[in-house]
Amino acid sequence: MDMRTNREEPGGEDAEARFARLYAGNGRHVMAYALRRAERPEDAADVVAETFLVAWRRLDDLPPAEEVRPWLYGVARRVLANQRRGEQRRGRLSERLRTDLSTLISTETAPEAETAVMRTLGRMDPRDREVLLLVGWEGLSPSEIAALLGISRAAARNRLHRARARFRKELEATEEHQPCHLGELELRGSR
Amino acid sequence: MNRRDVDAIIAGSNPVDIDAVESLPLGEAERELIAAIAAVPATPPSRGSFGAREAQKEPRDGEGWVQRRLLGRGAHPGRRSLALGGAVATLAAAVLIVGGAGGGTTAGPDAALGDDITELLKASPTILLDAPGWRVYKLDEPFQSQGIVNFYRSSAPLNEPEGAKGFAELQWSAEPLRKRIQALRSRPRVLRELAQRESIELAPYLQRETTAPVLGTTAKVFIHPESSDSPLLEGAAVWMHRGRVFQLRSFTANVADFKRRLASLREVGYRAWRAALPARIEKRGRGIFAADPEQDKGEQ
Repeated sequence: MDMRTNREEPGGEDAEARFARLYAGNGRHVMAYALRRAERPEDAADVVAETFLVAWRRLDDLPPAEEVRPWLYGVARRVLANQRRGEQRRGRLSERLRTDLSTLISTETAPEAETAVMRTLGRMDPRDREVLLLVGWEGLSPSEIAALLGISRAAARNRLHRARARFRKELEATEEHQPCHLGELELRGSR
Repeated sequence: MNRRDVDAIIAGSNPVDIDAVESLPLGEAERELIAAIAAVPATPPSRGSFGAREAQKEPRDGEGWVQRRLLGRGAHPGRRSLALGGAVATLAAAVLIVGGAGGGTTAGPDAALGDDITELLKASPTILLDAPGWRVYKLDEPFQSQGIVNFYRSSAPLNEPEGAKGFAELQWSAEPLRKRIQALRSRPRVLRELAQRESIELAPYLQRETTAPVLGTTAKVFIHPESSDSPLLEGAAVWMHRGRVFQLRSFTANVADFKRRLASLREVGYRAWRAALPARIEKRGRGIFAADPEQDKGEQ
């Protein structure tokens, strides 16, 4: 049974076209966000599917284009949290995406993954870690983080400032960095 | 370490590169997903349904993948040394493309390189000198944490004095930035001491320190004469990028030229990076090496 609607925007673009454009502009970024945090690539596929299902249902209420990505991350964040709590049933919407991602993404452990930076992040308070990753991995500004977390800009800036200070302190206290070979260049300029 | 350094270090730990995700062959799967979603009733879900909850609910706490995967299920996030594990950590060496969906293959030059070389290349910094005439002639990356890329300008052969203006070397390592800066600052003293030990007459060595933009951040720049009788300047710029210290060295006619050359560094996607490398790429020890034999010979 065809359940499609025909919601129209001024200018005549129908909902499906708008939705396809929304996905084209943001789908892979939401996928990357999910892949960075989900336990398995298949779970990331479910997060993408559920996030854009919410976006489809709220298509007429989405923020402007320049603000929609943090909004999508916010939805993905809540979907991930539900997933972790076991509240999310595996959806049928993302069957093929699940299969393809699990084929494309290797989950073999890479020794280079165990860096001082990752160990430091692992020790941090989850709220501190979250804002640091939203800046470092997703490239969000404090304003965008505020919108995503549903807090004020001032609160986002304060949280980020404290998180950076704690991260710096933790990282500097750990064993890190390998000997440098750049020093070999030192005397090449001498004649 | 300032806030930009912190952000850069964390950015460098990003386990999933957006370029890699964007290059995944998922078009068919995504078209199916979009069509399946668009077939779902667009009316708002009923109150209390999963759809309503997922759109409105805040996570109960800040627990994320790291807590589950790094600290163990149910563990309290205390201060302790941990070994990494878990799905996201295993992606930290960059997304490993193991095959295309639906029978697709990794066709093209990379298919001939082999998985191990391809894997090393994909984990390399993908920074090119994006200015007319410049090419990569050598890549020497003994470890993933450090390496050198040599650029030259094809219109200025290396065996001519003017060719010095057509040479640039980009290095990266895991050394702390402050140590690198300290080493560059102390270069005049080191050279004076060397000259004294070797009884070499060395003209006054004036090194100028300034800053310049590069790759979205600011580099410390150190400029000094190439030698006492040369009109050329040698510039060295250092900055943090994705958790590593980078240094660009190049000989130029003046400071402005060096800053322009620095500003022309671009981070590109893997395909563009791969296409810019010399044709012959080989595995050496734990690293990789590639050289254009004609230009590499000119340097010797």
